Amino acid sequence: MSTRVELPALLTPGDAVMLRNSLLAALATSGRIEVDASAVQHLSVQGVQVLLSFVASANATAHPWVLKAPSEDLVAQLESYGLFPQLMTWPVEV
Amino acid sequence: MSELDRLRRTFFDECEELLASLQDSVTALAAPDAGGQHAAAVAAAFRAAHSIKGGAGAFGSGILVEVAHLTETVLDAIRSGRMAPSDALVGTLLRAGDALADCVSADRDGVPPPENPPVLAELRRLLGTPADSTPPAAPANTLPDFPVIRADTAPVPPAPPAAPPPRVWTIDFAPNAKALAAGHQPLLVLRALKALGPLQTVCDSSHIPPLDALELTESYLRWTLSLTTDIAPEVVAEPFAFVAPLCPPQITANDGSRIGFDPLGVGSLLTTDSPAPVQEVDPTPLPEPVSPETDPPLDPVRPWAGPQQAASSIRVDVERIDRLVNMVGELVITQAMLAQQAQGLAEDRFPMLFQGLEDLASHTRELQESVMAIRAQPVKSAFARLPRLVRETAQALGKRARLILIGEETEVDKSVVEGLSDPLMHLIRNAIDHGIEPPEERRAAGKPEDGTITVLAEHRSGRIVIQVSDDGAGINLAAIKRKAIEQGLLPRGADPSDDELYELMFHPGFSTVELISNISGRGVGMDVVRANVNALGGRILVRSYKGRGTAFALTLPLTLAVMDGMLLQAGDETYVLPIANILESLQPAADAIHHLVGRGPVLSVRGQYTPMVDLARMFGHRSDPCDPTRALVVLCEAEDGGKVALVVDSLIGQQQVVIKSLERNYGHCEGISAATILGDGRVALILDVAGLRLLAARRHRREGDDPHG
Repeated sequence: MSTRVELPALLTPGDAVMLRNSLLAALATSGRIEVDASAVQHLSVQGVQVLLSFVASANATAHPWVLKAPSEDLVAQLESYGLFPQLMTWPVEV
Repeated sequence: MSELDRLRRTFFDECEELLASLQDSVTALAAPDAGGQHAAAVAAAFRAAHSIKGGAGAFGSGILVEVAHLTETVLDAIRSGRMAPSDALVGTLLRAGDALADCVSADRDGVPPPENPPVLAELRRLLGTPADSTPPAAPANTLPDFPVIRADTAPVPPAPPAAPPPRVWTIDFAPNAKALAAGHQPLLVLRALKALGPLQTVCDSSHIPPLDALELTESYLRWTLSLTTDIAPEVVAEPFAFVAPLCPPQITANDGSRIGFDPLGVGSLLTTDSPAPVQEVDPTPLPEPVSPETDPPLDPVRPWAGPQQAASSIRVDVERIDRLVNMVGELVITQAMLAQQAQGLAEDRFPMLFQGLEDLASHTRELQESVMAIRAQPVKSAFARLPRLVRETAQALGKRARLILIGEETEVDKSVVEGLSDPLMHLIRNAIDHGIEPPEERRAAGKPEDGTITVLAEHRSGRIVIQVSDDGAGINLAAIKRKAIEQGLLPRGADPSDDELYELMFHPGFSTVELISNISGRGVGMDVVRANVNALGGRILVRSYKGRGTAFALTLPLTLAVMDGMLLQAGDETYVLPIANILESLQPAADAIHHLVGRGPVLSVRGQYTPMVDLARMFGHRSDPCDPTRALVVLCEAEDGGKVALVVDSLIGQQQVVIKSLERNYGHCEGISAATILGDGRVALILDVAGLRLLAARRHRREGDDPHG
């Protein structure tokens, strides 16, 4: 069974807490995790850290996951953060 | 083998390491001298050249001695400050390394070494050797001028520049928890800097902990930025005005200027100083890379860590290790055979036997892992040539590129490391030749003139992923489609997916000159890259973002020897499915199976549709369709995240299998990655999930809808 986690439009420092909890809960399941990134407009550094940490955890445990429909804003901001090479390694479904 | 032969063999083995050390050290001289790296690199290069010279002298290899001696002398001149390392000088030293390698190779093979290699003339000219002892000089236009500083001659004053060139500022920025708590967002700083000029941004995310250990108030990221601009230092400092009191960035320029911040004030500019530039005369100066004062965790040009410390180790022939690997493989097969034989016995009647079999399985696995660990090597050795390759290819093409290497210490089987070298070099050349735009185009697109090639290695899902990405123009899928239709590879009106279009780039001879100009010519030689990667049991995934860049990810097995597999029965045949690919197995209800036009049967699992493949039918073991509701479906996921539902008759069981290459012994079979020998002596094929998915998709398109898959 897959678990869907939606990234909020504004991933503020406060939202990063909730996102962390949602992703932790998703990692506790066995199915594929779908991180829906279609609505993202703003990515705080705290949100970026949560995302990177999630990716590290999922990869370390070989937990299947996918970044769904990343918004243009998300891609552009990850690029601004200098994280484009990392984004390129993530499984993405457009 | 005589004692002398043994000594010669040892010398040649050592030469390989010394030459690698020489190249690594000389390449480090091309990077900015941060923290005394140049001194350490010159010392290491000198030691390597000196050791080669000493050994060569003992074995009477005259030309080898001469090249090594002149190389050593040039290095000594750098060490003593009589010569300054420059791009051209580094090039000569690298060519000297090549000549040494050629001489060593010739000596080892017992063939005459190259007579008077051209680099000898370059080295002599550098050292100012008298003309009567100088061999015929190479044409003047092939010899670069070097920034030579000699103690006995006055330095040549540089010509006054027509206009002050823009500075390249290197900024090391590591926001801390206090800065985040105060509400500072690095993105704002990064955007403000980008508005000042072309900005290269490298983020070090290596300190990010797992999610359950992540402290949200902590700051784990660090940036190394390279800003090219001619604006005043005060303006460069402005974006940091508020955050600097909490976490002052390190800002240095390529002309030695520095920007400091008053730690007690409000981030005001403290100092800027511009020491007199080093007097260098270089007719074709390359952009001078810069480096922060302190060693960043992720230096854009890879900080040189100095020569490897001698470890407590012994030198063992690879052949001996390979024999050990083969024996372990046989042991795995024998263990599987014993386990199979015992299946018919009652466990309660033979408890000691079953305990022994369990112990044997456990010890066999430990032994196998230990032997594999002996063969494991960091991918660093496959990356060793890349800095030079990037430098020389970019120079030859009149482009500007820099290389970022991430995960060099990631370990993988020796044979995989060796097999990686050629595909990596090809992908890097392609990335620079066809991916990275010329400086003027990049400038017009608002990008830094220096393109960035990133090579990243990491373990993922029991495999190693090597990704080569660039920040170039990306792949023009429309051009691929147009060309494919022109060449008859796609029917007119076809609506292929992005993945299917990427796939066409690997079609032999697909790329054309026109295509090169339009889509960055990614097809050239890519079929060879894929063949090499396939031979290693791997595959290539492509992703591209228009205007932002392209990534080629090679996913490869960690070892070519043994893997954990699930044995499946399909018709009369037994197949092996890698455990890492299995998500779940189930017996579907009839209403979970649907038929999509052009896609064949799909399985609905919790609202997700996955294409179904009847394995026995796919490989021609059975012509009648199998009823999935009476069979078993194994839901699998490939490394690229694509899923497929395999319809099989039954699951036999899980076991370690020894991988036997089909590529080497037979040929490439789509949907099959390798073969193995089962406990009963039969041969079973190992399935390639991603390949099966592509194969099934193509068959459905070719044969039309088939309700049975």
